[in-house]
Amino acid sequence: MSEFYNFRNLGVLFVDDNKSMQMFMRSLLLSMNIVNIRACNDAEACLEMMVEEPPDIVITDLLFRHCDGLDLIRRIRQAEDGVDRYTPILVITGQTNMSDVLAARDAGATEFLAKPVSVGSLHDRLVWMVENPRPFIKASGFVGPDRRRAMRGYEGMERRK
Amino acid sequence: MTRIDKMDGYEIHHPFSKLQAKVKREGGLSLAEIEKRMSVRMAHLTEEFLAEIPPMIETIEQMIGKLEKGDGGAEAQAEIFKQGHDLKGMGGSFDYPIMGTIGASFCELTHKTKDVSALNLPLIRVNLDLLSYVLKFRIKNESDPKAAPIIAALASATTAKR
Repeated sequence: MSEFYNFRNLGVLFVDDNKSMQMFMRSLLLSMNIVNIRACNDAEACLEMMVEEPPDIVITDLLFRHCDGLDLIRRIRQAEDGVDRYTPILVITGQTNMSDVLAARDAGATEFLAKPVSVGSLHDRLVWMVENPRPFIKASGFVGPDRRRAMRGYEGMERRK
Repeated sequence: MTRIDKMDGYEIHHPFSKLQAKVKREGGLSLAEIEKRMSVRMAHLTEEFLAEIPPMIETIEQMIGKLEKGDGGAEAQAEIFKQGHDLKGMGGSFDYPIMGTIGASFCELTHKTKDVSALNLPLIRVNLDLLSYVLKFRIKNESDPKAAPIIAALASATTAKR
């Protein structure tokens, strides 16, 4: 796989209520030449911003002071307020128990990345998402990326922590 | 447009991949170049991160105080967990993994599965003291010689209080 990817045209919406993490992620994304970066603190703001200008990818934590990240993912997958339910969602969180990973998958997350985040881990995960788009399943009780292929395949690509 | 295959009891949707449409190989940066760019920004970012720790310590101190008086409840417990969660995630990202470890400890000690009345407040306070010490001496990880006393203290406190 080529090492070279041009992410410049991507529009990213980052949801995290921690100011330092927002600055860190903004710098990471800028280093990757991504300039269309928006950030917000909670689910309501995220949905509003998605309506205002649909992002190409949403990156979100799971734990917020005033809302639940899993609930945000479900609301996006339900196309609340008319948002694009197929928007790729990358969960980046310090909640890394297997139950948290499975809960994110079952809510409709596309990929999961454990904090701490590095340039290498974020780059690898974005490349994985570009190269491996997943079909969506719509069934009673679930809308989201096909869980039979959920969040697999990147393990061997981890590098440069 | 999204192609939809109707199956027995569910649908398979094949949405257009905006990521593939927008991410090109031409004009891309190597990972090495991206890492180089990020390393230039890290010094400033790390100072910003470290500046966020004193208010975090103050918040946790206030929450512990409330819990010790018996009037903090689940809200104070959740606030300490949230601060620990943030610290856990940021510590390693900003090259202070020992802060991440302390953050993980806060999370473990205040997880929502623990009843407020069963919280180990002395051990939570030990972790808060450790965080203050780590910040004061800018200890990044366990290999720093200045970390030895606190690692021993933490191990001792954990064994004694758990």
